[in-house]
Amino acid sequence: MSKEIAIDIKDARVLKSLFDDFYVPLCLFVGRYLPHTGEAEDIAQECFIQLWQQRGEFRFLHQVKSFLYKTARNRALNALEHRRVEDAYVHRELEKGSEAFFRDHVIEEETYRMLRNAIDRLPEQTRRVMILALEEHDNKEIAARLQIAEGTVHSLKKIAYKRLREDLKDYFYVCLPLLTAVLGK
Amino acid sequence: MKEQDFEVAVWFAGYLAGNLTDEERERLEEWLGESGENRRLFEQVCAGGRFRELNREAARYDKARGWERVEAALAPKRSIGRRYRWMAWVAVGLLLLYIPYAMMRRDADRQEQPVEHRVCVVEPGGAKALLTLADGSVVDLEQAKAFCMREKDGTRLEKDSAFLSYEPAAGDSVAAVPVYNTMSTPRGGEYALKLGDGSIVYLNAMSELRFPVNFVGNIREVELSGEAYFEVKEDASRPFVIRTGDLRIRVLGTEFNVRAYGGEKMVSTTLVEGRVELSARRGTPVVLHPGEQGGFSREAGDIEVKKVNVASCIAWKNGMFDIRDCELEEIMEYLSRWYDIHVFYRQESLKKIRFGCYITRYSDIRPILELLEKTGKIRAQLNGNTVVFSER
Repeated sequence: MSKEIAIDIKDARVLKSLFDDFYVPLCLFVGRYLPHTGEAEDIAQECFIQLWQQRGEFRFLHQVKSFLYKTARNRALNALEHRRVEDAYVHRELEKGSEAFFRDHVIEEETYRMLRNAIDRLPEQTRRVMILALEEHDNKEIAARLQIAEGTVHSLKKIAYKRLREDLKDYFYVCLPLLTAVLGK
Repeated sequence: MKEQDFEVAVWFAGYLAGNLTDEERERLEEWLGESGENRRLFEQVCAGGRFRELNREAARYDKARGWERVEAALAPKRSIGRRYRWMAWVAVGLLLLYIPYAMMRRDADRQEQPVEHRVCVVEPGGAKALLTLADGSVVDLEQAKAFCMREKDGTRLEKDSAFLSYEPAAGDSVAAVPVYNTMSTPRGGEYALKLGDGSIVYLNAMSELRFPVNFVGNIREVELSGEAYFEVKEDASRPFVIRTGDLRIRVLGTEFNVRAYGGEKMVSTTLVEGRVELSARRGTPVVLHPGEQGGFSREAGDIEVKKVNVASCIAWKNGMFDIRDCELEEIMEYLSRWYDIHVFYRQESLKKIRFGCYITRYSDIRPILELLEKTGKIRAQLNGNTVVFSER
């Protein structure tokens, strides 16, 4: 499982690929703690800067993931603390400090991240079909929207499911150290 | 946080993508049965319409701008001697004072400037080249506007948008010693020039041509590394000679392509029309006829002649890639001279798969990758400027 995926944040390129992967999910995650504010992006960015500063401490991808979500939560809760007085929904903030709130949103954002990444790697038309399918459109609607035959939607979906199976896991990172070894020269 | 939380996310995503393995399905069901909380979360995350909501929310965040800010903060740290550590603290203090100011500034900027959306595109090459003059000075032909100047023997150089031409000084050439210029193209560059004798040379990417600005004596000689297409002006009294490593290509008046990249084992000369003579250091010279390609092996030093499709070999000059039945590795090697890309193969075996394609070289790289994917033999993924190939 993801536990075995080794990672070495030895240069900015590795950080960038982590950023590409986790930045938006992390923004979404911070947004659960701080809805309706512009702070989510700032906090997510700070998480990556801190990740870089502590980059020597990480050997596996799962450590990086835990770090990002935990750091994001701590920073978000700090920001909440400062605003508590102004916030009308104080009772809801208590809930936000709980482990369950944290866990639920890590799971949701991770689900979304993996799904989104896998889908983004599909070829263009297949990707469009998949997004519409996940947005709960049936084959007929998808066919009408993309102006393709219903049979085509069906077969594109089949292709998509097959490929998503391989792409869903964080396989990409398996080749990252290698990649940077080659390009890092 | 438990490691299992991440695994749960994998199950959820698998469920949504409709591709859970039997084992995963079992474990997911078991997990759902553990508590009402678990089931409630599953229903919330995997509910219809949630994906759409998340997509909409995600669209609010601007990854490119975010990275700019992060990248700016990654300045390399040097270890600071103990004596100067106080200076670092002063700097931190100043920075702390500066940050609120910068944030205010940034917010102000944000309101004023339109948001810039960046899409990751690997752009094609274009007319780019450096010209080294006789005195050693270097002119960047991409940056330079149209100009007109004289070399020290009086030869006139004229540059317009993507073409450089040499015009010998009026009257008899007086210089006994040739004056040399060198044109070199970078990755993603190409350039055309007209030599002093009226011959035209199209220089492909990552190539270099050294030539006298005006040909002196009874031979016209240039040096090439990389790839170029020659349209040699006919002049029976002065043969035109191209040197590239140990190979010498001698012509009178003709059109042909020379591909002599240092990284490649072969130097290929493809004749379009006329006649050329190839001579290696040893062995007898070989004469090429139209439609033939002479392959000079750098290692063995010998020349082999074969019939080829000429259109395909010179397509680059006409703005096309015309690749026929080539190994992927070879294709990408070629493309990466034109596009600023790095290529990575997840499986070694992929390098040997053969492809062909015919497509303009003035578009970004995506359509080419799509063509490769459409064959169903391979998957191509573009991350920044790295192309990752994997099995289908």
